Amino acid sequence: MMMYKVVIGLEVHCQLNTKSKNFSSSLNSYNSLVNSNISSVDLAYPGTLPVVNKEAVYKSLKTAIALNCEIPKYLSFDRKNYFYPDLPKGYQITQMHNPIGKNGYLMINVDGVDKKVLIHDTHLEEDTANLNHYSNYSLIDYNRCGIPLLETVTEPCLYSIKEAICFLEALRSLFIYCGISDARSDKGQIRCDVNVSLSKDYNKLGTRVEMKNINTFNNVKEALEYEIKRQTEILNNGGKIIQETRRYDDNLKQSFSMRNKVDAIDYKYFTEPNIPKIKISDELITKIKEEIPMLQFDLVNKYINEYNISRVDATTIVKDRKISDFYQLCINKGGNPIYLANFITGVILSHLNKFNLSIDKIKLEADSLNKLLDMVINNKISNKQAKEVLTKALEEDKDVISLVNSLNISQITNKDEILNVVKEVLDENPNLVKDYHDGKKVFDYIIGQIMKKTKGRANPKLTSIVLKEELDLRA
Amino acid sequence: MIDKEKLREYAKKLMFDMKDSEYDTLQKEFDVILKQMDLIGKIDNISSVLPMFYPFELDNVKLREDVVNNELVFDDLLVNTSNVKDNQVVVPKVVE
Repeated sequence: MMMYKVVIGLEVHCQLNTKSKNFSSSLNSYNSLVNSNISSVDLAYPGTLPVVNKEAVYKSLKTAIALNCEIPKYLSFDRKNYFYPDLPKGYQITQMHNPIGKNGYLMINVDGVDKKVLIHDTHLEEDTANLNHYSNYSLIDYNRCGIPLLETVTEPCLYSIKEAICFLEALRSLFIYCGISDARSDKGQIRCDVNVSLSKDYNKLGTRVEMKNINTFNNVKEALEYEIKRQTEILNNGGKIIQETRRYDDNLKQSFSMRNKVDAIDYKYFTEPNIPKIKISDELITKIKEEIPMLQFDLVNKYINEYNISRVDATTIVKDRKISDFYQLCINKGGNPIYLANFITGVILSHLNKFNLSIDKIKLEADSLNKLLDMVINNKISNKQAKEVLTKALEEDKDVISLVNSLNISQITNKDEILNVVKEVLDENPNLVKDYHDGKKVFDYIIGQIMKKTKGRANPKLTSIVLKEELDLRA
Repeated sequence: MIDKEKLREYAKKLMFDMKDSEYDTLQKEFDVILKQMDLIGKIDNISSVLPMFYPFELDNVKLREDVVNNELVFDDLLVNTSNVKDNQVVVPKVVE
């Protein structure tokens, strides 16, 4: 089968988590009663004027700076004209000519290899009303109409589905770390348009096909798989790809043509006259820069280089800002980075995933976790015991250290105490002593018996030494 | 050059139509406009001049504080439409 060069470009829409909408004071919320968050601006009543939300501008600037974009001296908007009931004005206020950020990049790591994803631009616009379609009519809910939407557009510089998904995850993480959006795809807060082309000539771009409004990263993956397969088959059969916009149906797992290039809509962009230019001062940019935390890519490298943990663990921890912050907090309080990474990515994450919880919603103090891990490091309890007791503490919503104390599971490290148990076991099983001296492999079995008697509390290393000595004495 | 065919194409995209005589008038108006554009295009160094969107430079434009005020309730919205269902506006279905 012929191999083609796949080129992918993405347009990611992200709802900003402001309190009010972008150009009106209506509530920005996704789960209100239908048509309750509305104003005369949202509904485009005659004589109303849009006034730009300060917070939406700050959050967009923050993202643009975090994406290493060039920032314009002035903020301005454009009208994108189209006729559809989801926007009562007959146009969307967006930024075509002077985006809030352009020519940026975001570093990602795909299978251990660093890649710089080029950002064409990121621009501030408004979301549309929700249209709910029924058998022969549609209903309009204007609650979403006017919610600030930040659209980030990449250059066509992603060459595989893996790169595309990796970029999307890094971008979502950036949104969350910068605190500009909750970026929940199940709430429609992050949506994606996907452009893909296939070409035989590795130096040329093929004909571009766009797929609109894909809701989840998994659907992006499926839509790309479907589209690459579809285009490959057409090209293999000597056909030509038509430049068109398609819709991916995630139930049918197929894409359908919406319109081709000939029917492309002319949006007749022009500068929005109702919003004067707004100066973006250097002081504001400096202030916002200081608020941007270390992001996923740098954080993963920091954890690998400074704390000697694996890339897999570092990536897992960094994925959720709250978990990463907790990890950092534990280290700042003197915790062991490697043990912490092991326990966080293991017991703690599996508990959070099992009960769909966030780390700030569980009873686990950094100090308690550090103390528990110190017990493991100092051989007071075993790794296995620590994991068991931590699981129990999380499930029963108890402080882990109090639980360790009440369960009396601390390790036996006193040699005499262990020797007493060893003697007891050997006295009860004289045949095992004989078997041992006859060269039979019963040593581990005897250890097992000792562990059984001490409920796993005997220090394994010390037990092994004491047992060997006692067996030699009984030769 | 903007000819009648192009005007018809734009009219179609904008979803309206005109009488033939109106297309004639519009085409003549465009001839004048394009001549003016040509004239502007001949100004020295015009490409390095930034476009001006507003007659005055405004430096005191304020952004709105992010404070919520739901100005209307759905009764206000629905009063403007005769076709209502479940507190929502009904429109003909436009997708397949």
